Amino acid sequence: MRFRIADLSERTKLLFDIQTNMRNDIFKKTLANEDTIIEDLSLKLNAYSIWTNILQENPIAKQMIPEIFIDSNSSILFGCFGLYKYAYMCMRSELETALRLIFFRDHPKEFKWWLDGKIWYPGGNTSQVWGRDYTYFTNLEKIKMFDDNCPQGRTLFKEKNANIKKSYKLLSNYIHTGAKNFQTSKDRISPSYDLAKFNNWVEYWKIIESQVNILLCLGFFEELKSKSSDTYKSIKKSIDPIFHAILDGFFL
Amino acid sequence: MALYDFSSIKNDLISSLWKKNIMDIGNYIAKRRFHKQLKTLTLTHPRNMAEIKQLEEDKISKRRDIVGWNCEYQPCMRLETEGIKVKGGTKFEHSIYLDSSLKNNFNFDIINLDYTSQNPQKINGRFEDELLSLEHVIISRKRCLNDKKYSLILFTTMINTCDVKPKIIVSASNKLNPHSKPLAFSQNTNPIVNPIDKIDTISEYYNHMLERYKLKYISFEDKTIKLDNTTFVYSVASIIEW
Repeated sequence: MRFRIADLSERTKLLFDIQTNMRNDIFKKTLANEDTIIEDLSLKLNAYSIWTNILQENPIAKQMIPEIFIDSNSSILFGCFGLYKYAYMCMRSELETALRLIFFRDHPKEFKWWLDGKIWYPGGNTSQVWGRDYTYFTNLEKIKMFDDNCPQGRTLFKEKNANIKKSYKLLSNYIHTGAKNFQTSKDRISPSYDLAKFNNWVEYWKIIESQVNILLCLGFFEELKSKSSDTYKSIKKSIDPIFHAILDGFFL
Repeated sequence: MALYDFSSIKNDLISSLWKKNIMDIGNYIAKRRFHKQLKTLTLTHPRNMAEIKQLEEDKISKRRDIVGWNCEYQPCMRLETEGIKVKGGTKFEHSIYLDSSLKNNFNFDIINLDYTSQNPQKINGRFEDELLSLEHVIISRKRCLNDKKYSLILFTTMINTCDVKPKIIVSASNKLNPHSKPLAFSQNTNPIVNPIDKIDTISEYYNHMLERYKLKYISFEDKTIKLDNTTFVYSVASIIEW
């Protein structure tokens, strides 16, 4: 039977019309105003193909890096559609998956348990696979070295209000929909392109991208170090330049 | 970002080199079948999938029998929306020897190693990796032949000003098959600078594989397309009898 939009039931047709409007109106408006930025974000995404290539022999990374990529990519799509809250939610998923990947790298048995849905870690559902807080990461040699070399206010985990802790907390507010993180507003239910919200989201997208790639660089230090410096330099393009000098010390 | 417009080059290669060989392999493998239904692996990019459309039009491969490959995730996603099976997110030239699920299930009749579709960059080692992938493809294909006698391998690469180091190719190739006659290029071990010499290296490598894996080339045709004074695209089409 031939599929025709006109034959859809009323509410389904309305859903389709909303989606079409989002594509035609909001997405195009976003691209018309922000194509250079979107191009820049898309280029930064290429780091994940580089990571998958480096880590081809690591079955855990092979499974988790595409998931990190799709979260990041989906964030861009939601951002282009004016669905900024959901764009942040994707980033929270991306960051969490990256942290899990770093943990599972050295815990393949726990990875299998996690795949099977088992909860072995203290605190159960109120905790994370890597345990409470971020203590696990602060004990990893390369992350510790990186944080020791970071100026105050720029560390990943070391300080009380370190960057990744801050990011995770901020992004969690979108998952749990804090009052300041609503998608809707008093005057509008449907999404729209909003310059200020777009700019805020882009700024945070770049921060998360940078943090995830730093985590991967430090978490998979030996694997990245064994590749040519060109590989590191390609990944560096997705990392905030303020951290380049510190990372260069590890890889160049 | 693509350095050159490889899209129009692909169209030229399809009409002047690939199509004829594709039709030929169709006749070699499935002469009596109206739709040849060959299995194809093609390194491709959503900006130009003309070879996929050509395979369908000429009734060589159905879309369900085509596997597309791109080294980046976003083109892979776009290719998936075209209803073809897609693999990738990694460099094929690395995956063909690292990914056991790929190399142990390498049952393609047509293998299109179009490296110009993979956003080739001007970096050292790229050409060597791409060339070595040919040998990995031969090894993988041989392992999964079943009752097939013929394959078509299309190999397309960008030749630019980066030096080619034969030492790297020789060392890697000889490790793959330490009991057979070692590979040696006429250029010895010096880095190859001249584009003509780089093309000759490809021919020498093909000859070496002929001998090493006891292959027969039913056909061997090539084409060179100039992009600018220092950069070329070189494509080889060879029908192999195993």
